[in-house]
Amino acid sequence: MDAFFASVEEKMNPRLAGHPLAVGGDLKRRGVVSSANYEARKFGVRAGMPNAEALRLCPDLTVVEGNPQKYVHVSLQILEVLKDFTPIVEPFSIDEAFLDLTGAPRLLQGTARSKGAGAGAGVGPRAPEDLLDAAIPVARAIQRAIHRRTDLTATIGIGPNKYIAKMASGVEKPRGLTVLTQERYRRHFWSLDVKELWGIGEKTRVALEKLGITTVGQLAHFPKEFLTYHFGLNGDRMRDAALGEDDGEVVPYYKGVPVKSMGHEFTLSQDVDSRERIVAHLLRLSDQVGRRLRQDGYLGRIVSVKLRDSKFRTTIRQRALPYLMNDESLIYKTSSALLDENWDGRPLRLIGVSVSGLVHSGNAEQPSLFDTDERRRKMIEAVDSLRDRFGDAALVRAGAIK
Amino acid sequence: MLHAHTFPKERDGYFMIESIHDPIEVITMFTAGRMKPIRFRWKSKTVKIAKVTGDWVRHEGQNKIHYFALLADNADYYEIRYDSREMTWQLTRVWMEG
Repeated sequence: MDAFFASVEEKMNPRLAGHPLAVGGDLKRRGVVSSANYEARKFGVRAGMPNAEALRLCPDLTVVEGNPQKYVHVSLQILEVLKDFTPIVEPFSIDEAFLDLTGAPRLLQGTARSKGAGAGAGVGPRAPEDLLDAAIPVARAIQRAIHRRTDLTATIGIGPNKYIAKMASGVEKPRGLTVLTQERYRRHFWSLDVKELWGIGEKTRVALEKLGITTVGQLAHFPKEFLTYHFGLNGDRMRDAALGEDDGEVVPYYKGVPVKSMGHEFTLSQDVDSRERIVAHLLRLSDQVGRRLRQDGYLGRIVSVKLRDSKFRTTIRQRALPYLMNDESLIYKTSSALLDENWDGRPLRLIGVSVSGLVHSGNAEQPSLFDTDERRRKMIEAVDSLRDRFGDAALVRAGAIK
Repeated sequence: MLHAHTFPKERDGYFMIESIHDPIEVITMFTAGRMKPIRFRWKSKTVKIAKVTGDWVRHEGQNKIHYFALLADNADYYEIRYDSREMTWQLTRVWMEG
């Protein structure tokens, strides 16, 4: 979706339309921009930028406090629209989805049936060019249907696999529709900087530059063994990305995409250097993460803590536990230990806690800590049951109120 | 009570107020299985609703809070919420002529 959060706000409050607009975090604290409309982008306002910096770049910017429930509601409406075209829809984020249009009736009506061929907005196995082009009217119909249902605009990328479709969706925005075969993908991207690739950030770009790789084409032709030596499994993935190769299937929404980690982070209203206050936030964040793990039926083994200081230097440290768990006390104990080992007292502006190495509670091969601590399990079940009924704010740990 | 201020600043004679939690009285129509606010009273002012531009739901435990985005007939913008357990309405956000 184009500038999704900002567009939802404009749609609900038409007075915002046509003016620079950003959706940000809590306005009373120092939030960051999560979405900016195209008028704001002309001034350099981008997602991830602190509200204050965005306002410096664009003094006439209106910053509206984001409201996740509002956006989830619209996102679900869009999912319903997409399901009319194919059941094989993989929601990728709140405003992005992959569709496998290989078997979509509307596509098949417009082309001779070609067994095993795929086409569409984020489609399955490699497809002939004509099938990809045949997806264009379907994509236009999807754009029209989304607009009819939500008043919002969408950009669609069509490719023979998910990676190319995703890259195609970034070629022309808003209201864009771009079709890329693998050959067209290579022609378009190989001369561009590697940072244009989805999944390559600034750190990786610098690391690639040290190897003499600056363009997508150079990455595509670099010996695989060298990339694997320097970047491990990611080396392979980066080379595949440069080549436009991706054998990942579109995982339909009803199968569910496996969750790799769950976490929460919090931007502080002002920089904090008091350990007492920082651990109070860690306690609250650990509580939220533990609750989410239990609600969604997950156990995890690796606890990570994220610390960002006033100069935007970010430190992430993690520790693997010898057992699976979803108990906030253990998350808190581990995250506060990581804090003490890695924090030098510098003022912090953001704190985060996450748990990874997740397995579904039903699939856990080793016993979780709960299996050996019946009393604690019952206590947490009682707390969860109260929160299920009265909301998460019904019970708050005293230590988290600082 | 208003908890926040204009942000970022008054523009074109309009301003936005966030984080209001003022109780309001609402006349609501129930139609086709949906709630549709018609007008509401905030302080001593009656606001006639021209269009519901959006609605969404937030869950707090078993409680459902219904939110509505509204355009008044003078084009002021409001967001209001209905707490289905307490059966109360609140005004939560305003964008109005200054």
